[in-house]
Amino acid sequence: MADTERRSPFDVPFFAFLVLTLLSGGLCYWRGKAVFLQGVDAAWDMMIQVLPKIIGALFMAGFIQVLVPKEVVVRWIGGEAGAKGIAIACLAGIITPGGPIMSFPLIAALNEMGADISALVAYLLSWELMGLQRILIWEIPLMGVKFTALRAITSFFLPALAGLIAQRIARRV
Amino acid sequence: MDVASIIIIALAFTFGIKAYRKNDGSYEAGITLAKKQALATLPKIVLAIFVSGFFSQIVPTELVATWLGKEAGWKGILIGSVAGGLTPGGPIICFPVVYILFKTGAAVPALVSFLAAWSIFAFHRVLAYELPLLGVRFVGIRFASCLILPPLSGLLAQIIMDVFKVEFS
Repeated sequence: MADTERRSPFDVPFFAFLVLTLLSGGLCYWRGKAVFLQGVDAAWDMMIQVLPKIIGALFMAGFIQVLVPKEVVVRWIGGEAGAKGIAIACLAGIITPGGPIMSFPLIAALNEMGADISALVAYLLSWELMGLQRILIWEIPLMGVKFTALRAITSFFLPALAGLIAQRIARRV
Repeated sequence: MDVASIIIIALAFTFGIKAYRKNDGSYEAGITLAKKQALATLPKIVLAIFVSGFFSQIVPTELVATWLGKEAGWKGILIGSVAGGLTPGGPIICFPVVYILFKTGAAVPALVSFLAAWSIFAFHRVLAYELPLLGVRFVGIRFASCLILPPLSGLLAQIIMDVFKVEFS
């Protein structure tokens, strides 16, 4: 999400989606006009449900990205080790905004600073599983609050668990 | 408008006001980031929604129900875990896929596993970022520590749904 390079909205994935839209739409139409119209109806319902949330979330993400600078996260995770380090890493992963372009260079920097692998694995997993930005932009709009809540509850302790396992493995290899 | 939309929009305003009050260009920078991101993603999201709408009409629901439905049980959780790990691309691809599966009869625990596996193992991210930036040892240890997590999360979802009698219509 934090890509700084200028990207045209009409890139390769856009055309891939365009082709998919035409193909799936054509396939529906081939099955009958009613099927096609039902597909359009389903898409329209989804659009009304999803777009206000995604647009709101995009602006929220933009502001959070500005308000939580990378240096803050690095200071947080770099300073602590052990269980406390894992706990802080989990928290930091949740609030780290942006896509892989934001999180991976951060992890690489921490790695070079000598941060504990358990904290790094916990941080990465927490960002992947519990990252607020993805939950707000994608999961809640598409899957609904109930599904998201259930998934978040089941995933909540996984980053810490992975961090602890990573710690054990790292001692042996 | 539903509650979730209102909360998200209210939060966007809250953070916006916070950035504005800082009076150091944060607000403008945030708006620029959001606009850039919106321009990059919204056209694709609109198309992805149409693809979802069309696919929800033509995906063979019996097939989804057999492999990922309630009857599939723990096998659905395992299949979801493997399928999620093999799903390439970012959230713009994954979430519409999960949405379609949800609408065509996949069970929630299987989808929880699917999402967990996709989040944790997304191989496009591993190849593009993790391997080059962190190296083989890190990736190896991380994979080994995460292997059981996707099925575990699905299993937990199943247990929570059974214990608290959570139903998804």
